Amino acid sequence: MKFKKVELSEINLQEQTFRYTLKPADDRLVFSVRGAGIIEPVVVKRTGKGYIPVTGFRRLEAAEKARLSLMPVLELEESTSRLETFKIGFFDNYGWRVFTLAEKSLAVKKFLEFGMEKAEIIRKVLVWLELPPTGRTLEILTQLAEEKSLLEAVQEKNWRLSTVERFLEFSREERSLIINLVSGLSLNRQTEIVEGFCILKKRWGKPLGEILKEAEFQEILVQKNLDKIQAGEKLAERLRAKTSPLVTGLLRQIDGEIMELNLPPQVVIDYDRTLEDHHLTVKLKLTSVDDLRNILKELSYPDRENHWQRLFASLHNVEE
Amino acid sequence: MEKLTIEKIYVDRKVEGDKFVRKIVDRLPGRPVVFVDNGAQVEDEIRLSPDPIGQGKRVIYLTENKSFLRPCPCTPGCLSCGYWNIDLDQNCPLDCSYCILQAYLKVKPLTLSVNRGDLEVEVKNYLSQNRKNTIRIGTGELTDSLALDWLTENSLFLADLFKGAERCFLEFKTKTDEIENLLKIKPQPNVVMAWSLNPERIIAEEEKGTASLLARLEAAKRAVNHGYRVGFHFDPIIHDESWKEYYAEVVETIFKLIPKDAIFWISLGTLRFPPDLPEVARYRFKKSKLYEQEFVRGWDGKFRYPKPRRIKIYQEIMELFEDYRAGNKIYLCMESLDIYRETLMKKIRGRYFTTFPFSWLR
Repeated sequence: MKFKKVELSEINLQEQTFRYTLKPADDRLVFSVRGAGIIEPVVVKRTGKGYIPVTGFRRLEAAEKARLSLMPVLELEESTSRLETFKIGFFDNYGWRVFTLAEKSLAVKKFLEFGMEKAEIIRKVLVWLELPPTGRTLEILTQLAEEKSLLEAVQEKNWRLSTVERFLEFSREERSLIINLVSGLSLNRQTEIVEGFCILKKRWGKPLGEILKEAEFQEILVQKNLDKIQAGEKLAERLRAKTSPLVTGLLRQIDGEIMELNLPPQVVIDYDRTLEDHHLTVKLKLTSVDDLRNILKELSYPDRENHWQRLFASLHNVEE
Repeated sequence: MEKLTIEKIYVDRKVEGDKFVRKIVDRLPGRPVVFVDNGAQVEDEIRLSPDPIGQGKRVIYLTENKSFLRPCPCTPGCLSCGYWNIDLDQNCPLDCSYCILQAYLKVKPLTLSVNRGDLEVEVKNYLSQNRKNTIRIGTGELTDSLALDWLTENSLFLADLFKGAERCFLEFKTKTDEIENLLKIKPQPNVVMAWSLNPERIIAEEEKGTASLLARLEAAKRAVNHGYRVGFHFDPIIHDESWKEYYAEVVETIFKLIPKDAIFWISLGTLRFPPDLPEVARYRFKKSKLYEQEFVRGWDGKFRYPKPRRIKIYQEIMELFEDYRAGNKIYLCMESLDIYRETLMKKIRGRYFTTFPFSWLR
């Protein structure tokens, strides 16, 4: 590789053949480039009259925004194969940061395009990318790399491989429906909604469109006054009730009994919401012995007796 | 039962001269034999398949095992039944959608241990150290005990090894009807043949490559007629709208074919699985709806049916067996004391009494 300084205009910035990273140049990088110029040279390859970028796509974007004219570059030999060139670009980034799953899928796609054997990708590249080195992982990544709208969603919240695999169980139309529903939500909420609809689709044997026609979901979808986050919360809550009707029903019953007890604010009641442990934990916030006496007296008021009985009965519930 | 397809045999170079290797290779004519330095080389081949787990079930790897005997790990917080495992072979040629080996062993081939001399020494030491203890031990943790018996003859080797160890019950746990080898020998009082049972509908949908319910129970009947005692494992019990009706039919069929006194023990365990199993199994068994049911994540990280549902299942199956006065043969697998209290234990004058079949563990 030869170090040199070239005119920015000589580098074809539209050429993205070797790009697999998705992070754009942000204001901080542009500000830094304006302040100190490009310190770390980018790697380029000569083609015909000009150059094409191999690494440093963000720096190049920032340099263009900062109106820099000269770029420090490392020029690759023209004879370097496309696969070797891509490997250089890949490893240049590898040490700097952890890639998102979307970027990993694009990297795998490029390795395939540039002629690396599938077996080598599974054995080497997937290990480098810290993904399960199996043929199945390769299948999922290849499918992900082909779907632009999915790539954006996966990149935005850095979805996990298992969520992408689950998501790919939906048809193409269903996928865009879900993307619309979950965009802007947190990763956990997105995962929960994808998982929930997947369960219902398989359990009920219905397409997503029909599932969404259920009254409980329609109620949320038609509400115009809900913002994205509120709608997402409600959707996740309804999905929980549909996918876990037994536990959700019992929790509702138990929470209802706790409300009915109408306890003073110094008393906090807690229980295991998986219902595996049927003990009730009662926390008391006290400042004196008198406090303790009064609270204990309050807790054992005869008119609360029935509620306590029902609460424990719900916690021990064995009937469905 | 669907016949197994073994495509290739890998042999660890360390054991290439072993007699057992020759025996296996001779019994699988026409399969390519590849010599390797270690198991990682075999796994490296298997992982290239889009279904590495399925591929692992089609290749045999002959190697040696460092140690064989270990107590069943059960699960933290559960009442253990004191079982011991002999991990002679690893990975199972049968293909059940709920099998945790899919997540536990991942890309392992059917691994057969050839160093039977080491196992013999280990077993003899173990038996001499446990002369006074009553023990249940079996080979069914990391594989089906009998699915490859036509090839390995493990049952004959082990039955001989445990001959005379009266207090040590050796269990062969299976979903097959491969009992020919054990029928060739005189039955030993400490050898128990056991079958995992499920309704025929579940077997057809979720237990690929296994024998039908009737074939299993007919095999059990032949074993009993030969003089063996048998065990039954309702594990995993699968819940759906008509589960009770289907399991009632299974219980009824058992007692039509098998005399109550020939049944040594019956275990119950509802479906449970570690969190990483569904993503593997959903892909491999696209039609299965097992993982779309209602589960909660328990104290040990595993997913189970919600506790009220499990209690109800155990109570109702217990009742089915009580109708035949066989409730005292039942124990639960991987369940907490709480669940035992709600199901198998009876409270008399403030104290709990159990019908747990293993008096030596009480």
